[in-house]
Amino acid sequence: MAPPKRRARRRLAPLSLALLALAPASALAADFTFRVPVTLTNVPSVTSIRIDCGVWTGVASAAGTIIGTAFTIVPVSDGSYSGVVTVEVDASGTLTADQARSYSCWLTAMGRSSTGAEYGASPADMQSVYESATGTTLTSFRSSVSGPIPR
Amino acid sequence: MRSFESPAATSRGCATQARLAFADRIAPCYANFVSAIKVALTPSAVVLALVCVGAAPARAQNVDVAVEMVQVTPTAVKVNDIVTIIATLRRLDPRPANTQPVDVLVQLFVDDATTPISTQTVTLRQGETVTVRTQWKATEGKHELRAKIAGLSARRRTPRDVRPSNDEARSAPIVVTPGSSPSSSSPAPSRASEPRTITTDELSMVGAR
Repeated sequence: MAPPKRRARRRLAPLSLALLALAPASALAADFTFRVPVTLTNVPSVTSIRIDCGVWTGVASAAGTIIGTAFTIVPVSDGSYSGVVTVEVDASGTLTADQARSYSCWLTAMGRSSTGAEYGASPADMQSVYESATGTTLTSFRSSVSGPIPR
Repeated sequence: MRSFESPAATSRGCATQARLAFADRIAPCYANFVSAIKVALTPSAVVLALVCVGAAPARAQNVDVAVEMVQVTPTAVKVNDIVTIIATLRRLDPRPANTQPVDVLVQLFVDDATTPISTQTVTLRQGETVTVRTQWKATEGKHELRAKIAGLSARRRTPRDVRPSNDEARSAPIVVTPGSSPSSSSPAPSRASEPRTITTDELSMVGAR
């Protein structure tokens, strides 16, 4: 029977090889890295935010066929947040990153209402969902940004 | 509180007498007028009048708004994941071109449910395409997300949907599996160009103090 040290080395060898094989893959940058500045002020019911970004084939914002989307969830405490959220999007399916012409990123706020129920306010209904869930007014918001993919 | 008195209760005084005399004079004419209305208001005449009134405004405009596709992202979904549903609508009116914008009421459903998960209104001009987005917390099982045009309206000429057969579309089926996903997801990479970094404008929420 091999001594314990040698046995441990034998066990670790495949693990090391697997980590080496994975390392280059994880180091690859995504097709699109979106850096989305986000500021939340005085929204104490919000517990987390989700930033989605997507790229499309159409020149107009979010037009044509979707090439890829991804999202990042960030926890929020004390009703405020200020920072840059990174969302990495890869082309998926048959369409390639070269075909991307426009992007859109949007904010979803998730939190607890005054009754304790969970709510999720997405761009389509941000003000109404937030205000009916919390009983407070959302004085201003910008829940989506979009633009052309720089060539 | 205001009160209205009948002529009998005010029969005293000159003014009242003058008013009664005037009423006597116009009574025959008033009776003729009422009988004329009674003759004119036969049920068929009323129906005809209503049809005419309905047809009086400018004729309806022919509109064709189609739900072209419904996409769901991400496609690998676990229970309680929030998925984004994107419906693409296009206005494909028959020629001649009609420039009047049309408001389209769109509803998004899960499978064959009758209660929508989202109802939104978008405005479309001829040839325009628009996407409607909503989010849904996934439940276990195989699902199809459905977008349906629930109504059309316009400011001037009433829109008439000339092709109702393209008013609804479904996504490809997605299978929601038990378990939980990591907090960030991206599909498998398929690179064909240099990675790009894009800094966007700011997103924000400001609540009242």
